[in-house]
Amino acid sequence: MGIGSTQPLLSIRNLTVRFGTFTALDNLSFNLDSGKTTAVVGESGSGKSVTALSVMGLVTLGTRAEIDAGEILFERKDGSTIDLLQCTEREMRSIRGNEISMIFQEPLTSLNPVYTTGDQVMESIQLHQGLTRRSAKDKALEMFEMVRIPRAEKVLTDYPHQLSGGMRQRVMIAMALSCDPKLLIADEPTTALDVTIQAQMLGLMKELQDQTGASVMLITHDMGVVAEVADDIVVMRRSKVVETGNVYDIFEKPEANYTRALLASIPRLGSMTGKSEPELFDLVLEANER
Amino acid sequence: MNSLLDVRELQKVFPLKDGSKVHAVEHVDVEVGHAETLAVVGESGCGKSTLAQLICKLLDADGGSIKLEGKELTGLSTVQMRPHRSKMQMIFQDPFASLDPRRTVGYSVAEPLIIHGLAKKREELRDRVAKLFERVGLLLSHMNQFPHQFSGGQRQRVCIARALALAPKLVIADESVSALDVSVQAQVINLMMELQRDMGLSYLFITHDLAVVERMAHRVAVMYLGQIVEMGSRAHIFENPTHSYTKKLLQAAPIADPRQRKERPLLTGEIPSPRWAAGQSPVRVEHVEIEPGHLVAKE
Repeated sequence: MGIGSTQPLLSIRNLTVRFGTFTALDNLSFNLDSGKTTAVVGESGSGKSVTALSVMGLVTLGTRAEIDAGEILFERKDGSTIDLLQCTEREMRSIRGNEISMIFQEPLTSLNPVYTTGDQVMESIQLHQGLTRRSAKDKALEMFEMVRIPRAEKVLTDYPHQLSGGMRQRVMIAMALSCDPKLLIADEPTTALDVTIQAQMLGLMKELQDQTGASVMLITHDMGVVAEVADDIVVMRRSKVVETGNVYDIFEKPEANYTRALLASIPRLGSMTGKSEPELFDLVLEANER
Repeated sequence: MNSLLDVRELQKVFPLKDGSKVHAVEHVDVEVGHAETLAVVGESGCGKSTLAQLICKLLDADGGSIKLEGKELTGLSTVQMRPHRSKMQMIFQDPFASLDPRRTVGYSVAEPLIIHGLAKKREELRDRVAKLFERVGLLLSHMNQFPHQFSGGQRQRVCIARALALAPKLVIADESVSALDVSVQAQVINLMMELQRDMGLSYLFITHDLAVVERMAHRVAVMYLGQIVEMGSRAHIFENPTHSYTKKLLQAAPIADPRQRKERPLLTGEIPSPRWAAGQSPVRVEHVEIEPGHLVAKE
């Protein structure tokens, strides 16, 4: 990653974030290439979500978190490069939802229950694109159709509780993509969804990425999802980056012991073909980590 | 019939205020043999958790029979049920919510032994709990600690120790490894398989995770809208899936290998609801045995 002459879209350099005495991110560095899907993987508490929140400029909001060091360089829509950590809140607000947007794991808690889905999508369109209510509505409808919400016109007037989990996540994606962001951060976007709905979402996200050229930072613990959609992988453990690389390289020849242990503990669909009895996981690597 | 658990025609309907009904479990037949793992898979609302709760009598069935070692369990009172409870234990999804935060984990594991009067003296109780802790890979020093001092994986080990306290024949595990990190999940699954090998335990394993099922199940039942649409050995289901819904599930499941990427058709379908308007009810599926032990619902 980051190899080649083109400048990365996002470059996190030596980022250290502390919550009191706890170091949540320890000298974190990695790049995100334009138009690619980069999966940030790791187990609970490894710092994946803190990384995402740092990029969004949300990590210090209402928390005890302090950014100790580092920079997050982002190439804006106008071609200029900005350090997100040095932005004013005003600048950040013009970037958030417009140039960098985010979708979360639980769409029900990220949507406002007292506004219709249409109102919520239109809000961000009106705010960032300065459209009138009428043209914002047309744009919202267009977005709903793009994320393949059936009966889109009706769903615009629905409240979040009236929709299924998959539909809510489609609304979130529509909202996130409505301002044509350069970077979409998706924090466990399919974890709360059923497997057939997850498959729909992954297909949809891939297609929308091809259409819009947006980069995706996919935060997940699910290596199955990573194997399906990621171009690059950043493996995190205990606040640090353990390994980065191309998805094929990481799965085929992981270098770090931790990555190897992680891959050894994943059940791979199809790996039991022809075997008559259940089989234990071979967790040797983790037991005697070199 | 030589199976440990034999469930026939099990049914549960939840009436709603507006007169409609949720047919959560419809005429379900399942058997679990000795030292066997039967996995029940399906998506939200397919009735798999209701099925688990009906079998261990946390819910009363509206119809059908549940036989454990040949003894009928439906219709038994709480007191009559007690001797059978020790043969059948449950492990839940969330090990944070299923342990009493104000009790030491040692007490939580000892409690079933106390209730069933299985350890008369203090020392005997302590010894039995210590053995259980050792068996599930916890340290003896953990016994005096409280749930909040443990990680998710350790807590799930405590829950397994508690389930094993009464030396059950059948353990019903409802999404028991779904909330765990993958490396911890693999360790807990290994522990469950070792316990099966060493103690001859049977599992009714409820999950949505097909890759885990492929790893640890002997037989698999696929549920859809309260009914079983396909059931067979692991090889039947994974190597010769026949019902369209089973195929759809397997097609949708991600494979943790980037060389096996699938082209995803852009579907928009939703999971249908098991709720039926007043006066309507689902059509009962008919099964065909397409090879010995492999049942498929007619479509």
